Amino acid sequence: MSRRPTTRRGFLKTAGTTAGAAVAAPYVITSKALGDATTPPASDRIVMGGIGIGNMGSGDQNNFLNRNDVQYVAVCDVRTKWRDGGKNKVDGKYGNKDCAAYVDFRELLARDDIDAVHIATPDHWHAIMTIAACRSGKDVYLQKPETLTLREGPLMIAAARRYGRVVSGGSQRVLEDYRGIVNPCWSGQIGTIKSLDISVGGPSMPCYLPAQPTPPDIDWELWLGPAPWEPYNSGRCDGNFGTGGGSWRSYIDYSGGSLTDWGAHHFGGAIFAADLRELQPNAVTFNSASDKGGAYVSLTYPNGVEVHHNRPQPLRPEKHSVAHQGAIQILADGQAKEGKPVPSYKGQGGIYGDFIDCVKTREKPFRDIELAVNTMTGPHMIAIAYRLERSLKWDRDAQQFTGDEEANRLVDRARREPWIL
Amino acid sequence: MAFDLATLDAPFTALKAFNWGSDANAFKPIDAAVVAAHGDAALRAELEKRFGQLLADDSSRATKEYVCRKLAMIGTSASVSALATLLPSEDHSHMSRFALERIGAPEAAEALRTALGKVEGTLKIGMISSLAARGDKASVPAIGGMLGGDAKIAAAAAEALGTLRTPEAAAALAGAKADGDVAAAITDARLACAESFLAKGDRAAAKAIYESINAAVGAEPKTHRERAVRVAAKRGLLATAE
Amino acid sequence: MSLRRALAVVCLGILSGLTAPRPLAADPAPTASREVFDTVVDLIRSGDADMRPVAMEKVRKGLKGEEFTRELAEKVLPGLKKPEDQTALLAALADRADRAALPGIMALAKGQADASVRTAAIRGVAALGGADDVPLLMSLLSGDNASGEAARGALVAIRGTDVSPRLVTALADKDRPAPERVALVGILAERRESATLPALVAAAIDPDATIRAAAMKALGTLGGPAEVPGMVAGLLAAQAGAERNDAERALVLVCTQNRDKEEAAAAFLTRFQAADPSAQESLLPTLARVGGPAVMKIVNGLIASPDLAQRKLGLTALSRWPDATVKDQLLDLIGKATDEEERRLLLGGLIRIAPLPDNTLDPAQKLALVEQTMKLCTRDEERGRLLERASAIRTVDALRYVLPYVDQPSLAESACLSVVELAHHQKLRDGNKDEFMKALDKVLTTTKNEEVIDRANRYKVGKTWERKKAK
Repeated sequence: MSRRPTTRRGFLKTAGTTAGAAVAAPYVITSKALGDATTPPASDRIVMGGIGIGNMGSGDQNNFLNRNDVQYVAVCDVRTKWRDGGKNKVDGKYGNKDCAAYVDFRELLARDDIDAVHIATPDHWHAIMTIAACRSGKDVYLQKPETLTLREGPLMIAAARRYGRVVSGGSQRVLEDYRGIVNPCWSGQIGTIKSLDISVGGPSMPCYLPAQPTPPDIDWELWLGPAPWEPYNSGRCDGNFGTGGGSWRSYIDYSGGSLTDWGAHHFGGAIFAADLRELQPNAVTFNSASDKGGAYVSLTYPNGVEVHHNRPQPLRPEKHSVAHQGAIQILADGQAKEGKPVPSYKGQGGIYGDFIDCVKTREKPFRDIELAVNTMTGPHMIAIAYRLERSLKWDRDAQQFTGDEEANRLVDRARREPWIL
Repeated sequence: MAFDLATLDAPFTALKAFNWGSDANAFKPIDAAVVAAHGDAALRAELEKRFGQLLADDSSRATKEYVCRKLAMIGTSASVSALATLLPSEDHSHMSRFALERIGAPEAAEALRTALGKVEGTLKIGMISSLAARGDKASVPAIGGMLGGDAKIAAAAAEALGTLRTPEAAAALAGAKADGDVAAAITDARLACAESFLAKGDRAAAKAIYESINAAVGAEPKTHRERAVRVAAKRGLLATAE
Repeated sequence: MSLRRALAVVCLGILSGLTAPRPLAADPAPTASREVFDTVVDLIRSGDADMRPVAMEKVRKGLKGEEFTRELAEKVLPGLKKPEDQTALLAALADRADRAALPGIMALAKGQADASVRTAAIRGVAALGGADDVPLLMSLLSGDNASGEAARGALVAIRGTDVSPRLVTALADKDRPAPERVALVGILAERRESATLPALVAAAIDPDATIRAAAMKALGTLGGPAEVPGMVAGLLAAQAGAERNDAERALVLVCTQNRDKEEAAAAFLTRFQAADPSAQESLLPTLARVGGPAVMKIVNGLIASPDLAQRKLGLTALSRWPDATVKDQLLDLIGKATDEEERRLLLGGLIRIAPLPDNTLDPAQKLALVEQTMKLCTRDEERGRLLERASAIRTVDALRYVLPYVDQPSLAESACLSVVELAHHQKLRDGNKDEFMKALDKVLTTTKNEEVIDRANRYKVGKTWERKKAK
């Protein structure tokens, strides 16, 4: 919520004078800003901005913009098309020209009138932006997959906890799509969970696309940011949802591929159903291809639960099992046990409402950054095991693989200067 | 079974001629060789030798980038010299660090520390970043000495000291005078140091940092950032007290 | 500098006007814990939202001792001015898991506090309380919406060996208002304790229809073979219409989906065979939905009967068969049917089962059966229904079969619906991207159904669509 409306308005008056800002219209208090029977006055609304406004960012923006308890004031995107589109949407909603538009996220984060941001950039930016937002005292709604490397997660959690920030991961599906497996597990009906099979695509791949002329509507240096320098190619940076090439989701410098993209949902739903939320795997087993099918990787959690990725056997209904659309199958021992209530969102409006409610109450959101990081740890480890074609042991306290120096090299990667984590 | 090195000749020839957009399948066998080098010292040495040649010759940026990615996985002290040559290069510095940052050999750290004293501007920030990511405590004095200089380098130095978290790092941070983004980075790094001290049981050292930050932020913080810092300081003080 | 003094520097501004900082000399126990406790209380009372989680973290995991718990629950909690501070402290006390907080929390649960505070207090009772607190929570069931719903959730969540017996006793008390007893059925169902199933079985034949319906619904989720006789009694007691349909669905679920379903189906058959003729007539359509060889024998006997009423009963049962094993029999009977009503009945059954999984037909065979069934349809209503059912065959061949019907105006909407239903399945869609993109484009130029348009647009850009939950 805006704690200093006067200051904010003062800032908004001059927002357009900052480098990179595209808007200089004076702030006028519209009837909407003053509030009505269903809309809180501006001083009680959460003031928000969005970083990365294309594709999922656009959807996130819609969800926040359409809330009466949010005042949306700024967008940031390195592409003109998305930036202008995002700004126009906000201006259209409020009937003014006040929404500021930035190319560089640091300028948006420097605005003290903004309480919270949503981030939906490619994954290689997530950690840097989230930590910067926490340091600037902002709460964060961060699209999944929240991390690109294993090292990033603990740093993001530390920043959130250090500054008391609300940082919500962004998989709306985890709670909403998997009730069919979550409810029987949490009710105790199917007993103690033994194993989970998750069927989802594999890791990301290298990108060798040819150079194309960099179009004028993208700041290529900022798009790449901490990732290795590569020449512009539209297929390298396209934000479409494919993971088989021709989108940033396909490539290793920017994404973990389908394994972390859809994996954030499927692993998220399965881990929630089995309530492994506070755990990280302690062993990763690489299973070579056999006459039954291709290679697959299994995770073992400290409580003995095994999670198999693409185990080559058809997911089929079995006794004491629950399944989700052929993507997840959970096997249990069938010995019914005491259930527990299923956690849910706070506030109204799904995961977005949960985040906003937590911004107000300072509680932890449903997909708190720690849950998000723990969830993504598994897919990242699986990707490393596929890459090295061998089994690994994970020491959670040290955040290192035990006795495998080469595997530990893949826990993180050097960021391109001047970006540092 | 020993790896048949002759099978790599054609892929390495293709790699040498590679540029973005050309056929990457032609050197794909090298990927498999890199994986197979685990536990095969001879193969690893051979790969490093061939990779080193590619770094030294006039191969394309794309080729060198590929090589650095692979050396990040299997490089040893044998590759450090070839990689270090690229550290001052605007085009190749990052990818050189991409490998050197991940190579555990002390020679890799030494190469980064040497470059830290030679390169300027954003490249210097790159060295700071990689030395911090390696947890290279030996670089604390050099990095600590950069807190008072160029603002961007000073901010990066503060970040690095917050990652390294030694008593010497904390002392350098405590003595630094700065404002704006550098001051913010220093505060964050000091908080990180305090958390580390607390986790190791040194409550007094942690408390001293928290009290100092608590006093500095004042009774009426004006910005979101100051309010967040106040939260951090208070949370820390409570943690040191019980 | 002492901790309190250090914190006082920054607390001063926040505390002024809200609560005076206590002088250091007033500390009853100048220990480190007491000092931290007082600091935490100051932070809570400051009403500073940023500091709230810092303080609550300590309430949850620090400040050991019942003395602190009681002080927080009985002195600090009721004095807080902001509901958000009270709800946060209630949640933290619940997580603290010290029953010493219960008296203070219960006072708020029963009182006239803000609805959010009462709700949080009721949740706190559930977290910390036990069987002795069940009466209080039941008394709140009939409170306002917030308290009632919170009490309901609390009665599901509260733990203790004597909790469920108390709820069962309350359910059996016919003097209690029916809505409260309906709520108790739901609560027992959500607690999922097998020992309470007999109470739900008894409720399935309660004189009150709302209680019967709630009990049958609960048994549909929880029931097994032992509950089948009681559920059959519940089915027979249900009034025709929605209650009976729902009761039938619950019993079929128990016999086809739940644990030990085979034994449950056998128990149903046994109960059927022991029933009098009029009850059998009433139960047969439900039994037919369960299927099985023994039931088929009964159905065939009825179909062969010279008595037209008996034959119709048998045909009705056959048309409700749960799988496609009866396809040949249905095709044969349709071919021979001379009575139009009989033909429609059987064709309806065939349309329903043609794409069903029955472990004998592969997708291509199912599609062939759909094509064969289409030729038997004489009315667009039947053809449309069949096209919609065809989407259950999740293959690209099903898409290719359905797609041309988009061009037939009278069947276009059904075909469009079928296309988007097939496109809903991401793997199928992604594996045949070009065909689906063209099909969805065709749908978009044809359909007038807004939901279908929305779905087609979503699938085209790789998004999913949230199916509305059935009531």
